[in-house]
Amino acid sequence: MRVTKGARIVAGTALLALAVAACGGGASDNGGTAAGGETPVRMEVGEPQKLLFPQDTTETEGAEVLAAVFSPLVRYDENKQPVEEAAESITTTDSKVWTIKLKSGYTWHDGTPVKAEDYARAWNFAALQDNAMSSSYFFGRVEGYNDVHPGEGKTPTAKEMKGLKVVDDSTLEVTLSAPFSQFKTMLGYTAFYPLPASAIGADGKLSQAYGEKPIGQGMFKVDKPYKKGTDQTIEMSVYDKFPGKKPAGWTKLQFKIYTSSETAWNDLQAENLDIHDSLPATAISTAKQVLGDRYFDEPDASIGYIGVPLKYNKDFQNVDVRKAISMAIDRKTIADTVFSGTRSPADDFINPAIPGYRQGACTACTYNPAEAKKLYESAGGPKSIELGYNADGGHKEWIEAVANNLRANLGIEVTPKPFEKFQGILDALDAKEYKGLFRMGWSIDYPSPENYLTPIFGTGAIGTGSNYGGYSNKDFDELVAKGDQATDAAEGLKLYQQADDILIKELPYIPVYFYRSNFGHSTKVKNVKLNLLNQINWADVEKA
Amino acid sequence: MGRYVIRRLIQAIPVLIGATLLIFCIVFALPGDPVAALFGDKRPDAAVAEVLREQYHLNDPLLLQYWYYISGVLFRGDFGVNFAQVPVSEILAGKFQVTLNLALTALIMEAILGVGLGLWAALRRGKATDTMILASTLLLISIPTLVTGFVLQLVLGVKLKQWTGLDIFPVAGTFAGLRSYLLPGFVLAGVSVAYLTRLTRTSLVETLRADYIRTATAKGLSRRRVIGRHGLRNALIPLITYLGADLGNLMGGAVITETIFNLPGIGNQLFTSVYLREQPVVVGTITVLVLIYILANLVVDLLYAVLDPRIRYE
Repeated sequence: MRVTKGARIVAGTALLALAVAACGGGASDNGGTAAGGETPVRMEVGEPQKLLFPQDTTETEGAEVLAAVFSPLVRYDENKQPVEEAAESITTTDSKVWTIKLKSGYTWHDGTPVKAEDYARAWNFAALQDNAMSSSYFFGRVEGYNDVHPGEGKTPTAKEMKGLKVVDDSTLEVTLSAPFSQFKTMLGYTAFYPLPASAIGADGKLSQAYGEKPIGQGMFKVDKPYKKGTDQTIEMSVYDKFPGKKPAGWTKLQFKIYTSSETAWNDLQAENLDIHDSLPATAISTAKQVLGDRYFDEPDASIGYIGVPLKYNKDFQNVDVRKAISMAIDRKTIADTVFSGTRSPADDFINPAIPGYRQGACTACTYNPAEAKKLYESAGGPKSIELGYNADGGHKEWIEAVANNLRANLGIEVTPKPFEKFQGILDALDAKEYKGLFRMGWSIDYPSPENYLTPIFGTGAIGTGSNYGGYSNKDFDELVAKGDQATDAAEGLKLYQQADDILIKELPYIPVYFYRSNFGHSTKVKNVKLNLLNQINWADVEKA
Repeated sequence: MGRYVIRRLIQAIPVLIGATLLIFCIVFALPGDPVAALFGDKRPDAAVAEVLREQYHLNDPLLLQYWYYISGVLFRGDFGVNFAQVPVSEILAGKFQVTLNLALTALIMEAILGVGLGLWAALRRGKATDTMILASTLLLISIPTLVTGFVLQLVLGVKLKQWTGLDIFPVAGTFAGLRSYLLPGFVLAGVSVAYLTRLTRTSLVETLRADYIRTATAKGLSRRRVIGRHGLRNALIPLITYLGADLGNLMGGAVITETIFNLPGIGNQLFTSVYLREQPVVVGTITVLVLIYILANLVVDLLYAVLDPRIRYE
C-alpha cells in the first residue's frame, strides 16, 4: 500500500487531538450527587441572567438562588403580611422616617457579624447611577436618590443617599422623600439584601469572585464558585451559625439549571430532580395524574393584559370601546384551553395572591358577547384593530385566541402583529409607527397592591416607568398618593382599592389572566411550600 | 505535503477575519436594543441603560465597535465579556468541551452504524434486508430530531428507570460522564446515520460493478478481501467527505438536542446569545466553528491521499 507518509501522520495526529480534547472534560463533570455523602435536595432553576449579585438581580431565577443564600429583612406570613425576619423591628410614625433595628446573631458566611452599615453599603451601591445596577429604581423613594441617580447624561453629585443613616451597628434609619406606607413590604425583596465589604473590589466594582460565590447571611452558604454558563448546578449547604429556623434532617441543597422546563419535568419523573416550580403547560394534565398529591397549583402574583395605547390612538379613548373589547374576550376558555389551566381569568387589577384583591371586582371582565357587540357599535369602535405582541415569549396562541374572540363577537377585522421583542412594541408606539393594542404583562416587585397601580397607571410612570399606554387620571393619582401616606395598613389598603375602582371603571388596560404557579415534587421530599415571591420556604421542607 | 498544509492554514486567515466581520455586522443589524432585552417587559431605567450602553460600546459606530473587539482579540488575546461580565474565553472553553464530546459521540455512532448498515444493504442488494434498511432510513430522515429526542428521553430515560430501576441513560445533564452522551449522541446522529447509510450503499454498489473488482475476484482473492480492500476503500472517499463536513454540522446544529437533554453546549449558548445580542459570544463561538470546519476539511483532504494513492499534494 503506497500512501504518502506525511498525509497519514498529519491526519492521524488531527484525529488523535480531537479525541484527546473530547475526553479531557469527562472527569470534571461529576456534579450529580455528592459522592458517598448526603443526597442533596435538588431544585429546578433557569440559568440566572447575571452572576449572583443581589442588587443586580431583578429576574426570578437569580432571585430564587439568592433567596437561599440571604435572609431578607421581612418575610411574608400566611396572611400575606410582612413580618420581621432578619430585622428585630421596623417602625415608623409618619411612614416617612423608618427605623430598622437588626436582630442580633446574624453573621456573614465568613463568620463576621452583620452590621447596619452592610445594608447602607448595599443600598447606596445599588442606587448610584454609575454602578448601573438593575435594581436601582427600588431606592427611588429614598431621600437623596436624585443626587446619586440624577438621570441620563447627568453626573451624580453624591455617592451616598442622604436619607440613609447608620445610627449604630444594629440600627439603620431610612428617610423617604415622601411618606410611603408600603415601604416595609418592599424590604423582603432581593434588592434590599445587605452586602459585605468584600463584595466590592478595589476598583469600586462588584468582584467577579463574589458573584460566583456570594457570601450571604442566610440559611445556606454556597459551597463552590458557580461558573455561569458552564456549571449545571449550584451547590449549597446549611450555614451552621444561621440563627433562624433551619431545615430538619438535611443540609445539602442543589439548584439544577435547566434550559427547558419539559426536560426538567422528565427529570422529575425519573426522580433525578426533587422540586420543579415551573411545570410546562404541556405537562400539566400528566403531572396531575403522575404526581397526585405532590402536584400543586397556586395563584402567582403576575397579570397578563391587553394594553391600550390611550396616548397614541384616539380610537380607543371612548371607555365603552374598551369595555366592549373586554367583554368580548372569553377569558375562561383562554385560561383553560390555551394555557391548560396554568392561568386563571382576571377579574380585578389586583392579583389574588396579594392583599386587596376582590373577587369579581371587574364587572366588564365577564364574558358577554351580545352586550359587547351592542356597546361596541353604539360607541362607534374602530372597524379594524391591530393586536401587537412580542413573538419571543410564547404569547402568539393567546393573542390569536383574543383576536378570534374579537372577530367573532364584535364583527371587526383583527390583525395580530408580531414584534421581535417587547421593547419593539414600545419603540414603535413612541415612533408613532404603531397605534394598535398590545400585549402587556406585569410581575410584581414587592407584594403590595400599590405595585399594580403606580408603576403601570400612575401619571409619573409615563416615560420613566411602565405606563406604556400613557393613561393619566388625577383622581387615581391622588388616591394612590393618599394610600402611600396612610400610617395604618388597613386604611392604606382601602385607598388603594378605591384607586383600583377607578381603573375598573375606566379600563386603561384590559386585564385578561392571572398567572398561576404550577409546581410539583418528587417522593423524596415533603412539605414543600411557596411564599408570596414564589420561592420555597426551605426551613419547612423535609425529606420523605 | 507540509507546504500544502501550511498554504491551507494561511488561506484560513482571511476566511476567519471575513467571518468575524460578517457575523459582527449581522448581529449588529438585528433589530431591537440589546440593553432593553436584559430587562424583559420592564422599561429599563434610562440612566442605567445609558451606563450599560457606554460600558459595552453600544453607542459607537459599527466599525469602531468591531475595532474594539478585534484589537482586543489580536493584541491582548481578550475575547470580550458577555452581558453578565463573564469572559467569553471562559464560556467557550467549558461549552465547546461538551459540544465536542457530543459531536464526536454522534460522529462515531454515525460512522459505525452508517457504514455498517450501508455495507450490509449493498451486499444484500435487492433482497429483503436491503429494502428494510432503506425503509427504516427513510423513516429516520422524516422524523424530526425534536420528536426522536423527546420520545427516546421519555422511553429510555424516564420509563426504563421507572420500570426496571436501571439508570442507564440519564435524562439530562452530563453528570454521568460519557454515558450521558450516548442517548443525545444517538439522537443527534439519527438523520446523518440515515444519509450515510444510503450514501455508503450507493457508493459501494457502484464500486462493486467496477472492472477492477471483477479482476480481483477473477484473480481468486477472497470475498472479504475483494470487498474490504478493493471495494469499500474506494467507496469511502465520498463518505469521508460527508463525515468531515458533518462534524461541523453536528457541532453547530446541536441546539435542539442540547436543549432537550440539557447539555450546556455551544448550541444552547449561541441561541441565548443571539437572542440577547451578545456580540462577543456570538462572534467567538462562530469563529471557533469556522476554524473547526476549516480543520475538518483539511483532514478530509489529507485522508483522500491516505485512501487513494493517486491523489498527491505538492
